[in-house]
Amino acid sequence: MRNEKKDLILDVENLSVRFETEDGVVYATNGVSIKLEKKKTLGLVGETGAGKTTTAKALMRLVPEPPGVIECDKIVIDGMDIMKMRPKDLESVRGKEISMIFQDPMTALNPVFSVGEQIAESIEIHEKRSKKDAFAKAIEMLEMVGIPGSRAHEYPHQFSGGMKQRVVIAIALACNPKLLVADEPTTALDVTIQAQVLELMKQLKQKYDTSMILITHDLGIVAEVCDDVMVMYAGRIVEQGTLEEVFNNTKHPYTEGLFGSIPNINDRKSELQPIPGLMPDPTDLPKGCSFAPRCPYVRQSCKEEQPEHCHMGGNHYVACSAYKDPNFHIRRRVTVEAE
Amino acid sequence: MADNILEVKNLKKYFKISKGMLHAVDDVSFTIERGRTLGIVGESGCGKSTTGRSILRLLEPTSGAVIFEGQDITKLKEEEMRRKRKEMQIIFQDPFSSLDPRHTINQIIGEPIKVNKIMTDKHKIENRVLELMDTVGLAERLINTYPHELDGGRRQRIGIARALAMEPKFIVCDEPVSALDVSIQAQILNLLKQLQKKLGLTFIFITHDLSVVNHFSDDIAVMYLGRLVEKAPAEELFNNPVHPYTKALLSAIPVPDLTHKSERILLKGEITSPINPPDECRFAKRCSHVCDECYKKEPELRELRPGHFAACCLAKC
Repeated sequence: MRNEKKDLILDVENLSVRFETEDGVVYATNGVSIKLEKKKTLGLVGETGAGKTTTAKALMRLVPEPPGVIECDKIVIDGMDIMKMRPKDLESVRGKEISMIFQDPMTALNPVFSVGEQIAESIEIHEKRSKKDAFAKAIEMLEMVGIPGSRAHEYPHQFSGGMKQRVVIAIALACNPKLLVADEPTTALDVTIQAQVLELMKQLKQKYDTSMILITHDLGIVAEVCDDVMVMYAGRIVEQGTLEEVFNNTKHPYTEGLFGSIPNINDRKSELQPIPGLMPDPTDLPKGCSFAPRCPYVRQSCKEEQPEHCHMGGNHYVACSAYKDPNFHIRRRVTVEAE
Repeated sequence: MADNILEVKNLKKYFKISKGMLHAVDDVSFTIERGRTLGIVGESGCGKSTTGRSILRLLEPTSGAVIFEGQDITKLKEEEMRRKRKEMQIIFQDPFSSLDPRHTINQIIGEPIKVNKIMTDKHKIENRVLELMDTVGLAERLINTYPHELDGGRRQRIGIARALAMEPKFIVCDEPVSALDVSIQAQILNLLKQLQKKLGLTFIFITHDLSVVNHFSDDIAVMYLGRLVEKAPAEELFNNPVHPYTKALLSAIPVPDLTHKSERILLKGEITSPINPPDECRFAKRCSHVCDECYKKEPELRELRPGHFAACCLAKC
């Protein structure tokens, strides 16, 4: 059987990021591997401290080194080996091939430049256009994100949160990157504005064929926008697969815990099932499985050995040694109506 | 006859600014029965936090009445209001800035007891603090720690313990879980529910998160630009929303369920200004059901079905 070579936009193998500080070593990301196909959207899910932002920044080597130390087998973006590139070459990749929307876009805009100038800056640098041409394109981008081009000369403080966010998206997409990394792009926004912005991102993604990594803790957004999902806990990927695999056939106890913690609009009667305890301190990770101290299905072996990656069929993998036993399953069951 | 612990009548809070008068809370009225939870929802700038604070007179209302257990507290003098505050408490949103970083847990939770001279003996106060810590699920050994040594979830528990110190009847929870991670949110929400049952508390639960408010409220009031646009029992609001804004708000919630088919109502434009608002429906400019009536005057809050109120010209039909 021929092994189909997928057309990958991103190929990361065994990425680990640690920070060597005076107070100890912070193991932020531990052995993360990602294979993202072109035009697809990957949801990177986890709570605060899981290591999602560090992972995303490491992809573009935006982690300060030192105190950060990036180790990996490879990071390849659209065929380019990121770890082998010189800083100057990396600069031409950032903003052009791969673009990032950082957390809290409210503070991502420079208050002393107009929004038009900030969008144009990216275009000037990467597409080597004249200031005039770049500004004209910037106005086009503003219109694209639903802001009247006549406002291009205005400053960030003259816009609302939702509009600032759209300007940030315009900057990120100005040079038509192949891969967009969006770190909690709608967390700070009101829910109706969030809806507008998510809709916009979906449209632009389709129009430009952009691949996307969407970092979020909101499983509702993942359900709406993503094709694939990776769940992170204490710097590791604990479960990954397609949207259907992870949502409808959930395997990892932590993922189950996340679903149990969120109030579901459609089911208000049931009590919330929070996960007891807290995520471990990244300077002091437990010996075996990082989730063991909080896991309702924990066994003695979990505390001693790192969990194995078990293949659950299709693209679905789970880092949980309990699945070595073919009879084991978690309680969560989603009934999907037969077509 | 319902036992209404709180009745808010025509509450207004305006702020005078250089550009004119900012109508933060504009003629809001509602009642809450003892032992129940009223959720107040809306997006940034709708006036929900200002409403909560005005009810407790943390901000002085511009006009209107706040009738707590039959008494209009807006008319109370400072000393009387201080005594009343034992019965009406608040839990703040930010578990970081709402705690004094230079006080230990013991001092933070004990402060209301000391200040109100409920107890004066140091050991008695400490025992009471330990009792409260136990009630909210904080380990005894943390009693002499400082807020910065603890995570958001534990800090919020300190805020709750402090609010309970006076054995209040009524607590305003101002976005108490918004700053917390999902699994910690769930822990705190469950705690609040248990406490309500155990102590017979009445809550106002202010939040922008509709899934949370659905889970935690008996009745829900929706606010938009300072006005109360709809109020109904929680399930009724979710199943039969009347006001176009409520409908848009509900449809905007992303649901973590692949079997759910969402019919998203996207609002056009941006929120209008709360400064010197004209006498018309404040939602008119963004509403897909707008008609001439909407621009003639502010729609009144009308009771459509028992317990279900809406301020919309559609509510006539």
